[in-house]
This record gives sequence, structure tokens and C-alpha cells, in this order.
Amino acid sequence: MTLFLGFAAVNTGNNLLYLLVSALLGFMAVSGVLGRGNIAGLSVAVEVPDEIYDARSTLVTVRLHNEKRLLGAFLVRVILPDGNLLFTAVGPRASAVASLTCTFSGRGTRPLGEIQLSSPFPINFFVRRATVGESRAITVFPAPRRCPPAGNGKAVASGEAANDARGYEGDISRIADYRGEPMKLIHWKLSARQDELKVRELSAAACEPLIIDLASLPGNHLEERLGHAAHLIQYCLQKNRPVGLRLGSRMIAPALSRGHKLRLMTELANYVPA
Amino acid sequence: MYRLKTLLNLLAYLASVLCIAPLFPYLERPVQAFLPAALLAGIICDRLDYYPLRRVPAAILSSCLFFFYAVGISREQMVHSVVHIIVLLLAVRLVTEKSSRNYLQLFVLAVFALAGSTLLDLSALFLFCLILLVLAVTVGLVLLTFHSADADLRLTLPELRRILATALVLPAVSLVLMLGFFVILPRTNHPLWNFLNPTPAAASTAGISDRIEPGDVASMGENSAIAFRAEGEDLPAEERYWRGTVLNTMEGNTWVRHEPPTREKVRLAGGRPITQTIYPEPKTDRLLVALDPPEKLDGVRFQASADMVHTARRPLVQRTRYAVDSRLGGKIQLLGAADREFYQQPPASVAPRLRSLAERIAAEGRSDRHRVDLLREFFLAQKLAYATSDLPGSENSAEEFLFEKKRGYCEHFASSFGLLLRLVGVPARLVGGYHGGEYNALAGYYLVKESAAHVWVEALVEGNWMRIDPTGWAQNPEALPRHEFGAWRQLLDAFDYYWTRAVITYDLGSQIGLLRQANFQMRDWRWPRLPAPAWPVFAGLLLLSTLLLLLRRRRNRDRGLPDALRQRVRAKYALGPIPLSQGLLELAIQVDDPLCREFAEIYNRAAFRDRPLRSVERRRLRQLLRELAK
Repeated sequence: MTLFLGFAAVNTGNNLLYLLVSALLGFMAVSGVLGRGNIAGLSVAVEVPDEIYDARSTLVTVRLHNEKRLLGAFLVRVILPDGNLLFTAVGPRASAVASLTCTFSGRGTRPLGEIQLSSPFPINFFVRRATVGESRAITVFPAPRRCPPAGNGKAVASGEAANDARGYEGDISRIADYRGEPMKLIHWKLSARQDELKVRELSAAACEPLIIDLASLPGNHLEERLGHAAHLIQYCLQKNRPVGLRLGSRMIAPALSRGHKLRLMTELANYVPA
Repeated sequence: MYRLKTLLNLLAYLASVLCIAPLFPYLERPVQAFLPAALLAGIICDRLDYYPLRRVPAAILSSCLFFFYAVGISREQMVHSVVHIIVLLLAVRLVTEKSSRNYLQLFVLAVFALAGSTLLDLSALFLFCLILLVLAVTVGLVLLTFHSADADLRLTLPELRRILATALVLPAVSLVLMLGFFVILPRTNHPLWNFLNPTPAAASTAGISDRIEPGDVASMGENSAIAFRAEGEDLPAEERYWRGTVLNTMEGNTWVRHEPPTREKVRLAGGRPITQTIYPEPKTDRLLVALDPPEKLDGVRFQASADMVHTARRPLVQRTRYAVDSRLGGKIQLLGAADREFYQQPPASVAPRLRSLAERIAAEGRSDRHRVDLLREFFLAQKLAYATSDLPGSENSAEEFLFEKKRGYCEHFASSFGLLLRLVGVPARLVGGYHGGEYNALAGYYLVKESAAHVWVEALVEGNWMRIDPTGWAQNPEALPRHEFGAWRQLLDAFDYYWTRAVITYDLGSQIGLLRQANFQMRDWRWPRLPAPAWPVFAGLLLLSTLLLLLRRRRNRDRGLPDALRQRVRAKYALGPIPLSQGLLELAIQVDDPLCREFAEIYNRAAFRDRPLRSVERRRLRQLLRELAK
């Protein structure tokens, strides 16, 4: 339109047409600068959960921060490798948070990938794009697969056994000095007799540890076995049963914590057969 | 919550009204009636969210209207037809359902309609419409972008305010840039499509002509149209004579112009030089009016005659301007012998009373000057009155004017005086032009209307063409037309004048002039001379601003250090962009670099305690950055 009117202005020498063309050119220049300013000074923080499973929906939280002092950010679309989010308006020096479900395919540790910003603001003629980095790595665990009973059918059977570890529900294993334990563990009678606080140390109620040998798990191929292993880890830890892992010649001792679970899952995610 | 669609509708109505306003007087009656009806119907349909005119019938209707006017397109009617097509398409679009695409079409049609109006009307109303249209269309396009993202978007008041505040930057800055682009955009002196440009209504009327019959100028006295504007200083009342044409031959009652004798040559002597810029209103004639007596014209292509009549090569149907150098109070000196016979030629028949009067004065007069004085005395003795009605109109209008009715318009005074001069043997001619004018002190120019058209006499006395205005001898000077500006009219006319001067007549010559002026100013640039007491204040302000600048830089100098670290780490470990959300220590752990870790620890130590970096720390950080860069 500007070109056509510009052509008409030059050929008619009509100064009012020149005024109109000048206004349109000014508008184009300002919209370009405004569009560029709209997408500049933005940073994106992506929060992913600790546990991401292959081909399973995962809730990802995106925080868009506008670092500009005066200009707001409008109609900014944050494009993730697997989905996108639209932020309608973020004020100057303000943040906006939104979530979307993403599905990551393929196990392993890898960078989250490029995050792109795009915006058609201020006018929908051109879409400006920018790439904001996200160097953090994510680990996608194998998708758990229900494991069929193996051998005697007791591969996953649970049972209880006393554990050497300290706990809160087992039998009294010994009397010890008070070191900040819960009040219910204080042995009041003994404490009154000895003039210092004594506590009952109870043994932890725990199941028999399970060591998962990847090689001996059922499954037609490696991914299937890894899925079964992931399922077993989840299942055992849910049942409060310590679980360990044997990957070829490597052995990871059984334990119960969440950190241990993530470690086992990470091992499975990054497992490459020798 | 505010519905975006409602706002867009309002802007679409506003844009439609603004683009149609300057076009409205040029539209055909049915179209004039159709447009407001379409706007009203559109508003009702939008309110009810019900559109009886569906997409396909609307497209068929648009096509029919298009073809109806398209078949009538001709070279003369091109603008008229195209403008009608545009406004009718706009009207149809107003009454149909409005999607994002339809809104965009509406805004584009509005811009084209306003562009079309420039080929019909050059008034300053355009500027008003343009400013508001730019505002409506730009804000509309921004809201349309949101509408395209989500058609049912509703905004809270703070959101809407924030969006509008940013959107308003667009028209505000666009209009400022418009001024710059307008000045520098390339122009040509010979546009190819000049025929498309409007011929203003005034161009259909002619001003002073080369033929004056009794009653001609009187009829112009009722014409309040502007003849021209003359930019320059305020003039003494007796010098406000604007020379147009010279009528040198009598044909019965009528004075006409013939080419002056070929050997006639004149020059200007004495007088005060004065320069004026004349902005004539478009007319069909070619006469170039100039303050009497004119010495030199510049700015248009013209032809000059020995009797100081300047004629443009082409009719002045477009707005233009030219500069005139005149000699205020200067004498028109004849070089060489005069062609007395040419300027003394009386009409074929002269009334007996006039002939006997002339014979008596010719006999009494000892010289040409004396005869002129005797004739003046006769005119005064006759107690002639200036009048605009009941004027002499017979075949012997001069005799009727001088002896019977004794009332007349300026051409009766001039025509009869000129005739008597010729009869007594003094070479004489009539000068047609304008007298007076309203001086606009605000903008420094004279506004001269067609009603100021005037005729006076030039008599050749002692080798000089002497200006004589017999109308001034009327016994009722209070009846002479007065031209005064009211305060409001002065303001409005000043705006119109600047509009014409700055916008309408801006051309390649103006661009080159501006360039030259800028060049001269650059070359002759001098530092402004400040009075002695101002120097300490100036120096103090300079010092203060420098100190503030340094202080600010000092305060902000540590802010760039984390960014510098991120850059170095990115470069050293070939990483992708590092998010700002990632802490420095986290980054150090990620890359497992002792230099990076030390940097993070030093920086965080200061940052977490909310204290500025010590100079030792700052030095160390910079050293670490240098080492990381190796």
C-alpha cells in the first residue's frame, strides 16, 4: 500500500499524498523498532520436574521475565521443542508464569534445546523471532512397564524383616542419649532415673532389599527391560523396599531414598550396553 | 473486562467517518445518503451481533457496485469513479460481519479513501483527518494483532491501559517522522499524472481580465473569493496597489489590451526596493499580480511586457508561488520617445459634452501636468460619489457618469478619467489589478480578495508613467471598501496560509532551497555569544552534568560483570545461550571451572551482603575474566 501510494505521490506531485506516504513510512519505521523492542530484554526460565518419563506427558512451567524498564512485552509466544505458550502482556520489570504439558521422546540426558520467542506485535504483518538459551540438561527416564511375574512368581513379593537402620516403627533396639529425637521416643522413666534424657532407638521396619539385574529381567529387547526395571524401582520404593541395580558388572547398592531413586532412574536413562 | 472486538468496532467507525469527511461533498447524492445509513446499520448489526448481509451476497453487491462505477471510468472521471468504488466497498464492509481480515480490509480502504480525497480537495481539513486516521488505524492494527491471536480476548483495565499506552507510541512517533519524511521524499517538477490533481473551485473563475467594460469590476466587488496572498511587510495605505494588466486601447465603451508599442522601453527610478512572495489562488487566467511597480519576478515561467505586465506561460490552475521585487514609490520612466499616438487614441465616437470639456481643458492647460491637475479639479468639482448600485450603463457611460448620475464604481472613475486624459492630449492607459488587502500581522502577509479588484489610471507626464487613482477623489470616502481582519479570521487564515505555503506549494525548488539554506548555516556556524555573567552558570551546569554522568557510570560499572562472565564461559566451553535465571555458582559447578567458581564466590559475597564490590575484589574479578578469555 505504501509503495503504491508512494508511486502515486511521485507521479502526481500531490503533497497531500506525500504527507500520507510519509505517515505510512513513519508508521513502518516505528512498528519495526517497537516490534524489535518488544522481543528484546526478555528471559525465559523453564522449570521441569525431576522425573521425566519417555513419551509421558510432563507439566513444564515457563516463567517469562521482562527486564525492560519502560516497555511492556506483548503477545510473546515461547516456543519449546515440544509445544508453545502465549503470554498476552508482561509489564516492564515483571514476570508471568504459565504451564504446559510436554512429552519428551527417547530416554537419556540431553539439553532441553533451544527456546524461541516470537511475537507479531505491534502489527500482525511480520513475526519477530529471537532465541533464548536454555543450557540446562534434562534426563528422560525410560517409561515404566509393568513387569510380569518371573520364576517363582515372587520376584516382586514383599515381606518384612528387621533392619539395622534406625527407624520409628520397629522394636526397641537400644537406649541412647537424646540428640533431638521426637518427644515420643524419649524414655521418661529411664531419663528420670539417670538425670539425663534417654531415648528409645527403634529398628526401622523394612522389606527385604531387592537387587534388580537388568540382564535377567524379562523383555524382548533392551528398552523393554529398562521399562520393566523402571517399573520395579518405582514399585519397590513405593512399598518401602530398598532397591539396588546391577547393570552388567556395575552394582548399585540397595537404598530407599528419593535421591537413590533418581540415581537409579538416571542410570537406566543413560544405560548403554557394553 | 473489556472486549477487544468492541474497541475495534469503535476504531473502525472512527476511521470510516474520518476518511469519508473530506470526500463527502464530492460524492453523488445517493452515495451520500447510503454511507451514513451503512454506518448506522453496521453499528446496529455489531450491537446485535446479527448480520443479515451474509458473505456471498455482500461479495456480489460489492462486485456490482464495482462494475457500475468501473465502466464509467474515463480520463476526466477517473478519480471520481475510483473514489466512489472505494467508499462503497467500505460501506458494504461496515454492514457485514467483521473478522480480523475484514477489519484489516476496512482500515486499508479507509487509508485509500483518504488518499483519494487528496485528488479532489487540498484544504487543511485533510491534516485533521490524517492525524486522527493515523491514530485510529495504528491503534486499530495493534488491537487487531491481539484479536488475531484470540478473537474472544477480553482485557482487564490495567492490561488495556498498558497496551494502549504502547500502541499510542505508534501514531505519536509516526506523525513526528512524517514531517521528516515529507521534507526529504524525492519530488519532481514534472509529474506524469498531473492531470489527476484537483482543480480547485476557484480555478473555474478568472480574475482581472484584459478587457474592462463598465460594470465588470463592480460585479467582482461581490466576489469574496481569495485572489492571492502576498507575504511581506505592512505597506502604507497609498502604496497598496497590485498591478495586474494594462488596458491601452479604447473600443467604444470598453478598454482592452493590445500589445504595447514594440519600441517602448521603460525603467524604474527611485523608490524603496521591497520583496514579496505571492501565493495566487488557482485561476484560469495567466496574469501574475505584483506590487506596483514591479521590477523583477522569479519562481514561475512568464513573459514580461514593456508596460510591466507579466503573464505566466501556463494558466495558474495549480497552487504555486513566485517572488516579486518591487520599488515602493518608484517611477516608471520611459526610455526614448513615447508613442503618444497609441496612448492618445480616443474611441470612435465621443459624447459632445466630453469633447467640449476636453477642448476647454486642452486650451487652458499649459503642460501635460497642468492638464492633469485641471482634470482632477474638474472631477472634484463634479462631486462624484463612489457607489456599487444604480451605476451608469448606457453607451455613453462616461458622460452619464460625469454629468448625470455622478455615481460610479472604480472603473467609471478610471475609464472616464483615462478617456478625458486622451482627449486633452495626455497619453493615458488603465491599469487593472487590486487595491488594498487585509494585512495579517500574525503571519505577515496580505490577503487580497477578488472584491478588492480595482482599476486606476497611468498618465505619461514628463516622461514618467504617473499613477493616478481618480476613485480616491470620490466625495464619500467612507463608502470605499475597507478590508480588516477579525482576530479569529486572522488566526484561521494564517493557518490556511501556512498550510498552503508549507505543504501545498512545497516542491523540488523548496527542497533545494532548504538544502542550500542548511549548507549556508553549516558553513557560517558560530557558537552562540553568551553574555559574560552567563559563562559561570554555563560552565557550572556542564561540570555538574559531567559529574552526574561519571557518578552514574561508577554506580553501574559492576552490573556488567556477571554478563561478562557468562560471555567468557560461553565462548570458552562452546555453550549455548546461558539463561539469566542460572546463578553464577550454578554455572561454575556446571562447567567445573575453578576460575569461574572463584569469580562466583567473590561476586556473590558482595551481592548477597548487598554491598558494593571492593576495589581489590573488582580488580581480581577483572583479572579472572581476562584469564577466562585466554
